[in-house]
Amino acid sequence: MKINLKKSYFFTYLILITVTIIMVFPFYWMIVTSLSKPENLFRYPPKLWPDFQWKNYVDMWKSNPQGVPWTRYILNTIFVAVSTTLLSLFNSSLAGFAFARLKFPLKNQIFMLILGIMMIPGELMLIPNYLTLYRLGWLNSYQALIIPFGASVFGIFLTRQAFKQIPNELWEAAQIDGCSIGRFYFNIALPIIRPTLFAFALFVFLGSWNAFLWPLIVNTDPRFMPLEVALYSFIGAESTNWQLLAAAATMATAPVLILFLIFQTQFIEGISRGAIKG
Amino acid sequence: MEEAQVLAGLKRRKTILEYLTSYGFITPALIILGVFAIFPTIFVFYLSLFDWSMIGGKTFIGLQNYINLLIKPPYSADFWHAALVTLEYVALQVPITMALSLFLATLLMKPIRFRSFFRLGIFVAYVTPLVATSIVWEWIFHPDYGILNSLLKLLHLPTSPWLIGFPSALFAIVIYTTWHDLGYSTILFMAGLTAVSKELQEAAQIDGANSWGVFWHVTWPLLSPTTFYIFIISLIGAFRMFTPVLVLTQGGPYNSTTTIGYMLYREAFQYWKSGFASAIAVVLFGIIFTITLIQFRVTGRRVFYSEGSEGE
Repeated sequence: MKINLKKSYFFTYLILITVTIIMVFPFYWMIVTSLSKPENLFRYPPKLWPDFQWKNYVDMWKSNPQGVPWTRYILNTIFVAVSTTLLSLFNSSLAGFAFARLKFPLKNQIFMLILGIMMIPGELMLIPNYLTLYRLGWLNSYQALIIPFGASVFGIFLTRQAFKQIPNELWEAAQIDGCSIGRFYFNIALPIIRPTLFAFALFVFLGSWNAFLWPLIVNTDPRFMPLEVALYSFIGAESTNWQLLAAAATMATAPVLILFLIFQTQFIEGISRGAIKG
Repeated sequence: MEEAQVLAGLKRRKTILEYLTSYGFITPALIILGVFAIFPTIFVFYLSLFDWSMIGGKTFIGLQNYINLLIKPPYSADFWHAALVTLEYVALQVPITMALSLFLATLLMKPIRFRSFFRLGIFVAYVTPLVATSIVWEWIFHPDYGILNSLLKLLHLPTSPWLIGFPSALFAIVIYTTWHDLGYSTILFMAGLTAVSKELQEAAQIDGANSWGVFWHVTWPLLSPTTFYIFIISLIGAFRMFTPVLVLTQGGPYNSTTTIGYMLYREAFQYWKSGFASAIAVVLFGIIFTITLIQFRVTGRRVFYSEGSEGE
């Protein structure tokens, strides 16, 4: 039963429209700036629409920050994000499966230990992890950006919940048919929890694409830098060429924006679900 | 008799096989988490007892790093200044974000059209990369040509140096982080509001309560677990905040935006005082752990926040 259906929501709409415009404006401004003629940037009052100066993108693309082409930075980012996602999906879901369906000694103790990790802020681990990478000889490498994120407590937790939902009958039937644990996990269980895997993959991919602090610290060689870190040094190099900076920023943001627009339901549901179950 | 023995033997073999498979399944994740999460958590306490600059030799100095950090000038002055900056940031950012997101969430829960469109617009900033969006905000905050000051000028309001001024730089950081994270807490509040019973709210409305009355007497008390949860994760996030500082102000001007997190980064990876920085990390952890404990006492729920520490 709806009450006050006739009540006007004028102010609600007014506030929501204003807030949405403010929240989205920086992205609009990023694009406008990236397409502006340099002389139009330093004007008062500012010009609110773009000049469609596509040349800015060409100039940005040709700038080779730190002597490395943008293609390399982009490929670095994609390669690291895809590898991290696949590795974390595999390792986390394997462990999640064991914690959900199998019996083994110390199971609960190990699971509690893993959950405990979630309560520790990343800052605490920064210095020892740098040292570990140094000892392994992994500074300035791809594995420095991939391996430490190759398993996720959140992922183990999430997939464990999903595996638990699989009916027991299925597991018993498979065992009677002589299906091994490994085959059941891979051929039956994994396909069933596809939606969970997909939502988790989105979060890992996004986290890896947006990663900044860790790659900044461990990969000082531009050849192994992801886009975000390259962008950071680009700020130093092009400090006043706002149209070039904005073009580079647009290039780094666009893939994430597109990915989010396509899968927004999964993103938002994933966050709401995490909040309720948390 | 023999048959039973054979069966029992088979069962035992099956059980052992299941144990082995289980350990095989959890081993890859355990190795990674062990090396990159459990080991460093313990090791950082050990490192904090040394005078040590990452690559060079270590000298054991006991609790001297903590004494320098907390009691003995000049470093203790730096630390307490950073602690004050962090507190100022927390005191500004957490209430602003919470009030705004709760307000927006209640608006979004009304039976309005284009709800998912508004939600999308408010949330989208949260998923975008930090350095890229910082570039735009640096340009928006530009003291001479930034659109924010142009707008203020147009309205005949006083302009501000924003990121390069004191104390405006901290406010600018608060504006940026609030913009970036507002959507997240809004979504969480919406999830909480969905769980609050519609019938109770409608019953109160039928009894003649106005919308503020319904909110204050029905929604707010029922929402309090959500509110408390969001408060705690916002608090922890705000205490840890420093990547926006690194990108937007490098702690300046005059250290007015140097938070504890940024001090940790600077000491560790710019001055390479690894032992000392480890002590800062332990102290920061102490603060966050205390908040977690309080939260745990109150609600008995765990707060998960290490996810996303990679990027933020």
